[in-house]
Amino acid sequence: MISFLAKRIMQAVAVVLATASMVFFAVFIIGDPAQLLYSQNASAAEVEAARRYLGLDLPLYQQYFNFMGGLLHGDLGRSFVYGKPALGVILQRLPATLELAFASVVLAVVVGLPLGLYCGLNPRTIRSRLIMAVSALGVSLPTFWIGIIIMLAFAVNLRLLPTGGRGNTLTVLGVPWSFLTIDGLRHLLLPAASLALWQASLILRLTRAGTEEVLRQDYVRFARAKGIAPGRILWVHVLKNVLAPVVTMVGLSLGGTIAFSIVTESIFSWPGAGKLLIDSIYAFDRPIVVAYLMLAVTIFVLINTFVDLIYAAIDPRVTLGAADSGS
Amino acid sequence: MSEPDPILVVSDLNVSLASGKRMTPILREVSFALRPGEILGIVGESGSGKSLTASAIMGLLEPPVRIVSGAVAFKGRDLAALDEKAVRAIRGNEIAMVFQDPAMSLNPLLRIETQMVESIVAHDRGCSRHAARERARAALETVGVPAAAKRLRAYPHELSGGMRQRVSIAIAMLHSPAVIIADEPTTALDVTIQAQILDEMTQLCRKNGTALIWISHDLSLLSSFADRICVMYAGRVIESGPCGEVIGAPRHPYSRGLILSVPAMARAGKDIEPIPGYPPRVGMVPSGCAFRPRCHRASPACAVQPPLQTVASQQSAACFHPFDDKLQVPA
Ligand SMILES: Nc1ncnc2c1ncn2[C@@H]1O[C@H](COP(=O)(O)OP(=O)(O)O)[C@@H](O)[C@H]1O
Ligand code: SF4
Ligand SMILES: [Mg+2]
Repeated sequence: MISFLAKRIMQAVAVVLATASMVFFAVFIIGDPAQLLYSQNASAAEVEAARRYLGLDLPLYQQYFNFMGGLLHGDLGRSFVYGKPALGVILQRLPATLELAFASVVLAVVVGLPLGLYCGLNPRTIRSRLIMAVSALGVSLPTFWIGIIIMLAFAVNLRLLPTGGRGNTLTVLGVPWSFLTIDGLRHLLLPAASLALWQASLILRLTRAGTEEVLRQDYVRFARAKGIAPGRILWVHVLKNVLAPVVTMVGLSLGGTIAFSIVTESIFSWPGAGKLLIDSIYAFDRPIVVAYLMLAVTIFVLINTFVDLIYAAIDPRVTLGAADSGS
Repeated sequence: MSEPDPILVVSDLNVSLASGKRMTPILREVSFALRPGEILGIVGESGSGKSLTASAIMGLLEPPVRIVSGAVAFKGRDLAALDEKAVRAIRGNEIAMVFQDPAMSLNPLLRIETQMVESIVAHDRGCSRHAARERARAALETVGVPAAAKRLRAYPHELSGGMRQRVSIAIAMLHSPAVIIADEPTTALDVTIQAQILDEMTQLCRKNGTALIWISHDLSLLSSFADRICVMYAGRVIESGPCGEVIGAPRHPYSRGLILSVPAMARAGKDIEPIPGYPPRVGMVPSGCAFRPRCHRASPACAVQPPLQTVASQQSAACFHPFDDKLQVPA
């Protein structure tokens, strides 16, 4: 357990450093932020002063070492645009993204898991064939398209829900949250649903396939032969075996949603970190872009580690060392 | 000598596979009786319907396979006519089952203890957790599992195949059932462990007066411990009788072929004689006697299904031209 975590942390650090370096150079190649930050009619001397202030006049390798040096002290640099520490700027926007991501995953699990179980237990009914057909659409339609369609349907045409923004928020622990107010929930619903559809469809299909597979297993027949009640067979024998792979899937999809809710945030003007990333890329705000991607990688690794721990807790055959080399 | 009344009577059991409106028969007119404490061996090639017979008795058939007609009378009650709840009260309690592959029949995610305690509590509502655990431990010791208390805490993958099958057997014996159906319980195990487990299980059943249905494709194995033997072919019982008679003087050409194709049982000095051809697949069973295409005694009469009828005092065979001589068994 300890050695598993130590190994994971070392892996994470290596991945984060490599990501940071790649992104640093990639963004450098794209363009010179000083040109964009200052108006067209700024004098050459002004731009030069700005470059010196931001450290952009130094040779590339020098900038890189300064950046990496700062990194080791937990300093990801200052945003060129906001003039504030990059990490702080992102962390300020992160709760909105986390809120949206968690809301969509919860929605996806609440919808996908029971429906998948239903379809697995009753594969031949018309209802489950209908559900499977909808889920086939759900996994193949692009998320941005879903977002636009449900916005048009529910917000623009039916006017049932707002088109964008976070709505009223309630501040807890110094962070504003939408899900704590009715108005906020109304704002959260459409973007969360558009992110949830794909995940729910995937969870549904995985659960359905898992349930059908597990029901065929001898241990389910043996449990029936022992005279165990159907309820216990379903909740203890079947569900536990179905759940193990679903947990992995949910973890991965949570990570993906946090890192890539960019498009949905843009469509619904959700003021999260994804929208910040897009704005920062346009502005050549390198520290923000680098810090964002590093944070995304870190969150990914954290979630993966957490998923492996849960998996090992569910399935005694999985040892953490093996899970580590397997993933 | 008066025979005790049978405890389980399977009569004219027909099981079919439903596909759309078509019904494909899989088991046909399967009939046999099991007396208290007796060991009945059911033998037949793979696909002859042995496992399905076991599932039908236990009420474990799943759609699209179902009982079309016939009865499974246990202590005078027809299990096929009882509702699911009533059958569940009998399953694992009065009739228990052991499956072929011990690697598959225990749930990989649950401790042995959980799987044993749930079996106890399923039929003894009042049993406390502590008492159930104690019973589980004692049951493991009875079937020769060492360090039983420790094994209770283990997961199935932490035990060897032989140990896992002992656990399954211990589970089957938890409620001292009147009947245990063992579906090839040693086929998946090493030869040495096979023999051990077979010995232990048959001895325990004899000691407790438990009747045992032992399903196997291996006639020479069955002949070493069964009291009576049923031979199945293409979903039918084609011969049944006391073990000595069926082995020593098989009446049906298929039974005889089965015995002569086993090297250890073939007549001394003679080569083994494999049965030509293959058993028919479900849905492709020929009309009349299903064995006809492979039978060297077949005559035009065999185009009609031969009934299972008495050929000797306790022996029945489904054949129009049964043998009536003994086999010479090697000394
Ligand atoms: N669920 C099922 N669906 C379709 N065919 C089945 C099913 N179960 C068993 N069968 C068929 O029934 C026949 C008998 O099977 P089984 O009882 O398992 O044979 P055995 O145990 O003697 O090897 C086989 O030919 C098999 O293909
Ligand atoms: S009934 Fe005819 S074909 Fe069938 S086993 Fe007997 S002799 Fe052979
Ligand atoms: Mg079988």
